[in-house]
Amino acid sequence: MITARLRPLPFTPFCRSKNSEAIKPAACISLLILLFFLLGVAPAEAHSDSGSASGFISGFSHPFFGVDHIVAMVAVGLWGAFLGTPALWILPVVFPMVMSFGGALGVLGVPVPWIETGIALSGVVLGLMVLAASRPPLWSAALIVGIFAIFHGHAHGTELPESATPLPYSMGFVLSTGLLHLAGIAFGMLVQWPWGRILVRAAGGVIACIGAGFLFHLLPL
Amino acid sequence: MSSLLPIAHGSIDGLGDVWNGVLHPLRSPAQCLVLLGLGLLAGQRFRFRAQILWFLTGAFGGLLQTQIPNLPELPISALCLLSASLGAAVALRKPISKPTGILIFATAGWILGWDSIPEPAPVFKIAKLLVGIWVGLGLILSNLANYAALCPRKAWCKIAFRILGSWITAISFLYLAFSLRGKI
Repeated sequence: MITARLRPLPFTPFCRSKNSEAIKPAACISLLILLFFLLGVAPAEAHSDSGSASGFISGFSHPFFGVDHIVAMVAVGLWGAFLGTPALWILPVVFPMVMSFGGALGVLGVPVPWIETGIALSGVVLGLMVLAASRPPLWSAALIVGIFAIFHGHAHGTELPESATPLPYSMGFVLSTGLLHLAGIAFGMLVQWPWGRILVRAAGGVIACIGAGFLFHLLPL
Repeated sequence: MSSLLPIAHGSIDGLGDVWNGVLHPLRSPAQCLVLLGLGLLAGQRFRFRAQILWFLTGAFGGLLQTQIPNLPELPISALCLLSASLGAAVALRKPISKPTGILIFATAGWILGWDSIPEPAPVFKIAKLLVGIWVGLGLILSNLANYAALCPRKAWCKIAFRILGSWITAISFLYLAFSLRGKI
């Protein structure tokens, strides 16, 4: 009796109805709209941040300051969602691990050539992959994502502020990168519907255009 | 009445030596990362829950070792490498043999014990502090491992573990780079 009471309830994602396995589009769309508005919320500044807090906030906000980084990280999540499992989770696992390696190279001052070009190309390539609904083998998808992760990590490592508290900064930085991937995955989950598939592929096209803008210096990096 | 004993990551006024010891691992983010990695590893593999005893044995040895005169401080890179390896083990989810598991948990306990060197003080005060740290390490790891083991065996849960593991590795690598550059 007690065992039966303590048995965990089956997991029901937020956008699944109780009685059917169908995902409610309205729930997903409303969540995306909510996330969109949350991005525009100004931070509360009742308490001045210092020490660990400033390190965490500094690291957390760092990836949000560059559109080139945002589009690439969202594109990784989008592509992962497009490819389905296991790419859905392998790409977002590979990216932060390899990115931290690139970040370490940047922090240590080890030069890596064509950083800016690599970052701009990441938007173009990943965006085109989503736009073309490309389904390469998993290892090559992971390799592509890993190579671009080195460029992004190196750029972040080089731009690191001198005053940052190292460990909280690293935590904030990795967490926000992961959340950007999750945002991409959440948006990419729309591929389950025909109209969602068009929307996701269009998003890939927009990302590729932004990447091309950076590549040809039409947009400032 | 009795002044607090300074330890590696500071002490909290108003708490006794034992309680300061219990909370000590939580005051060090690097130790928390290692404990989180161990907890996920133990929870991910049920049979590793018994390895917590080996962890406690290693921690006991590490804490005793802190009383060796002129013992050098543990370099932060050791903690970073340890947490990075634990995160990678969780992310990759490759099979680990029982002896390797014992070695991992015992070594982690020993390293965390070594990283908790107290300042010189009367023997009784140091003993209270070290007992507190040992209990704290055991309590935190047991809690983390049990919460992780309580997670349902669903696919999304396994994926969440792997993603958390990759984040631990990434954070540790970045922190290692900072420490090698001499910023800390």
